[in-house]
Amino acid sequence: MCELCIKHGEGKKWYEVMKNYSKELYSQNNVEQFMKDFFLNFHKEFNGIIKLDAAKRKRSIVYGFIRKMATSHMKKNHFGQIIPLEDAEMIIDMMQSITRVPCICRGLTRGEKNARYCFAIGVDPSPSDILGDYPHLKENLETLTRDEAKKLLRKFDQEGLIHSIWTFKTPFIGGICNCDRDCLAYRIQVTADLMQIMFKGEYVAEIDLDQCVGCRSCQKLCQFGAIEFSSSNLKCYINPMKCYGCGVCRSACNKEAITLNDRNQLPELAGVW
Amino acid sequence: MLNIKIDRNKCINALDCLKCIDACRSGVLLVLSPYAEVAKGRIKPVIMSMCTGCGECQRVCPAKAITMIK
Repeated sequence: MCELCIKHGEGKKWYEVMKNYSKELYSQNNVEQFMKDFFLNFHKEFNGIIKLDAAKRKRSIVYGFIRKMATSHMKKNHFGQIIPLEDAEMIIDMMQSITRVPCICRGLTRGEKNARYCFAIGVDPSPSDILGDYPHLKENLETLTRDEAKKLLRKFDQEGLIHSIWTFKTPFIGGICNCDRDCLAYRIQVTADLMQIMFKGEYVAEIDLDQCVGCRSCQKLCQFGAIEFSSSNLKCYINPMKCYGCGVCRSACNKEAITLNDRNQLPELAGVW
Repeated sequence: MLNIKIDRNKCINALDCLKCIDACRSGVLLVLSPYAEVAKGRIKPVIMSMCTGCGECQRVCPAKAITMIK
């Protein structure tokens, strides 16, 4: 169980609890105002990242402290967790409204204005004023049915994109994203290791060595460099400490040798997030 | 310490060009707010701790707006 499950999960996984998507929570925490400020001031967040990064480069003694502060700030406001395809589909089934929106991260990292990889769930951004100052974002919204959303998720899964859920004023969950290296959270946490912005999934992948033929096709899809290859016995191995439990590798395996197991069953892995 | 300077007077049409963004292997350069009117389409080196100093951004820039300061 991750920290968010313990705080907001009511004994289940926190994203399985309907309360965390509810309209009550949305109005109670004033999420609408938060989202408005968040989208409008997204570029200002860069100043914080630049300071954190400078502290890391200088090997400053305050770096550890700023990193902790930044992580706890993100935990309160905008935090994520990696989820496998099945869980993403389960969330889609729980939702009344799903809207496909252009990915803000890819706008910032690639300059792409219309990379529509993200889903806003529960909140419908079109009638509200959340995206008011972003006419370009507003023009490219698309309301999806559950089936359309699931079909897209499966397509993204095969392309090797990892699914993640995001909070706006934790624990309100407002979106599902499909990420790769152009995701800002991925770049800050995985590529640059500046601070923690998302938790690993509740799962960890395992390869059945009897079925693995060592074709290495799973290795191509892993975004976290967690799959290692042994040429002497022609098998692939998943490094459980690096595995984020996204389950994307499964779609590449012809032998169906990869399964997702519960992270909490392994005593030493239960604390690795 | 290595630093990247982007001359805003020379880098005019950043959003239509994006050559430096494509060239940067380590993902140091980011586009400041491609949507908002404020800071529109400005490119900024953000995660400098990943910069290897390869100088590729400087080489591809058609306006010669990027300089690397050692």
